[in-house]
Amino acid sequence: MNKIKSSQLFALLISIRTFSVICMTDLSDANAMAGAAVSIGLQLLAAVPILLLYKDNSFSLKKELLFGKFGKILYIVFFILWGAISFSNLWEVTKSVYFPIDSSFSGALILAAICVYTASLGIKALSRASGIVLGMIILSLIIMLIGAYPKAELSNFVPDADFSRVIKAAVRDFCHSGELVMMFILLELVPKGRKKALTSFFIGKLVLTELIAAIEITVLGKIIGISDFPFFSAGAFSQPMSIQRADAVYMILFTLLCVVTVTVQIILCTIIISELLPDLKYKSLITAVLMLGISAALNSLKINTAPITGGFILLLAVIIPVIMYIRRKNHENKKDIISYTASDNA
Amino acid sequence: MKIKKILYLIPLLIMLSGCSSSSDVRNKAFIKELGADFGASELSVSLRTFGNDKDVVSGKGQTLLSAIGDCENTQSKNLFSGHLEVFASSPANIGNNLLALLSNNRISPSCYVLCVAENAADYIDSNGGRLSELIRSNGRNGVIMPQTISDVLNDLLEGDEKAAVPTNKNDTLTMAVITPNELIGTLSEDESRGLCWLCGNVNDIYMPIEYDNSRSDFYIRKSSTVIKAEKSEDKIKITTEIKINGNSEGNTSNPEKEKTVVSKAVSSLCSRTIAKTVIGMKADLFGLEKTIRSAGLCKNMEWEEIIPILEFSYKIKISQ
Repeated sequence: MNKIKSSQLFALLISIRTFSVICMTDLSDANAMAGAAVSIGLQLLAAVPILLLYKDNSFSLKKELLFGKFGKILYIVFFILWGAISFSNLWEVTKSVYFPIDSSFSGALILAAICVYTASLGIKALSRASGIVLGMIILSLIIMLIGAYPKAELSNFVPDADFSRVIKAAVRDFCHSGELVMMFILLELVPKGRKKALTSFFIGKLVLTELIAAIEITVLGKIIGISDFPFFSAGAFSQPMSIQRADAVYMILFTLLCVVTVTVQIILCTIIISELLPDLKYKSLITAVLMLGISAALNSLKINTAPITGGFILLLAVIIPVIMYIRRKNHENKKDIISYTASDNA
Repeated sequence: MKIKKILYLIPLLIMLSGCSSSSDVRNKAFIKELGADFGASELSVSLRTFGNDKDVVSGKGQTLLSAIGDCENTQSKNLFSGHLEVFASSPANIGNNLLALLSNNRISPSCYVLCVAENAADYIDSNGGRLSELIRSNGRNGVIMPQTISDVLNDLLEGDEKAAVPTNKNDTLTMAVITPNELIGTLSEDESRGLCWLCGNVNDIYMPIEYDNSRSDFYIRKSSTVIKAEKSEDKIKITTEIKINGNSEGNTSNPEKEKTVVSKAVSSLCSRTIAKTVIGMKADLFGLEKTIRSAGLCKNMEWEEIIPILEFSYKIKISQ
């Protein structure tokens, strides 16, 4: 079984989260920032049962997953859906932002091929590469900050938060937090430092989300309301040098993050499909084709996937782990009672 | 096994990338300045490319982007607008055309905007490729406030839907006030300078002053402007605080009096600008509404309802 380090898990989850953030089309404002903070705080609390499950070294997700095969199918469906949404994001961004490719479809095909190849190398290779991607994220943010600093106007930030809009923003952020489900499965592959990885991830996620929102608000001002993808507009508006555009950095970052996100979905699907259908061949290819097909359907039908993903994340990353934890605790208590009764009779 | 996988992928990558409609840098011409005149039925553009300060290329079209496309027909290279430095436009439909330029991030958001009432295309031709330098030098001297596409769009999207843009008047640059569709007024030289002070855009200039029948220069090294809003009974008191770091050039017998003269001069410039723009044109050109709302004032009032209750005062602090 492939094992990954806790730092690599952190890098993978942050990469997936960064991809979600830069593909967001929602307006950034004080409500969105407050909502994201509330959402991430609640997600941290929701991650506690997951951590408690894994605290016990005898816990095996493979054997104890709720609903057995049906539960595994649910996770496969979610990962395929998340990969499809990632391809949809790729399509939308390449149509809206100037990308030097002939067609969005050919871009998606090339990326799918890369993801299938990368998935064939295994989670260990991807997690090693995620360290480099994390470095790329940090570099891009530094370049953006250097460019944004002279152009940012603090007066663009109006601290006018409304409770109902903060809650809506929190729910919206939760619906975009698919990495929670991936975290639940990937923790199985991390032998040590799970608590450190999770805590660092949630802190990093909060800092990243708030920082990008703050840059978008202060740099774009009112233009954020007419911008299709505020992250790319903020990147275009915060050029660090007058003679050179830094847009290419964000394009490269976007492409790398798309590859990491989709590859993680393919790998997780492949791992679970191997348990259900061990003789099935070309699992990665089939998964990638399904993702592309569903992505095309989502684009043509213009389906809002946020409620669907929100429901899945709630079920797969919150409800199922809580039930598993309660069931495990009950089972342990019963074992204690039986052994106590046995020793008493003896 | 790994080598087999790589061998399968290499032909795929070669077939899917690179061989289609790519163009070399040598086949591209990078647009430096673009002038556009929006007529009733079509618009005409003139553009100047980098490395070619003598000739302009002209084109016509129903829309701005089609007119730029038409310009390609009169020369041999692909035109690329990503490094555009100056966009000079007639006032008609200027808001929508700035939005069109920004779509797909095809244009640098730091491109300067100039509003030219008539013959913007000819204006590009007559300035020999020096427009961006002219705008920058006038900005450095506190004569005008250089505005980029993003600055102008941001202002047009505010509550008053007006923005300040440099314009040409009698062969000199000054500031004008525009809406998304028209030019509503031009500021005088003093009013333009006042606008630069209100926006905190004045550094490294000499200010001529006159007192006791003598003239001298006051050197302004740095300045910063802070605008504060506070409620005062049923009015909103707006205080413009300007901190100036500078000194008198030459021997002065009365430095305190000189500072007073400078303070009065700066206050006078600012008050003239406010009278013309805020009171006269109902335009917010220096973030006044944002300042008021950030202070939590006038939450349910529109900009035009706020103007009558504003009271302005100035605090000029000069240090050496």
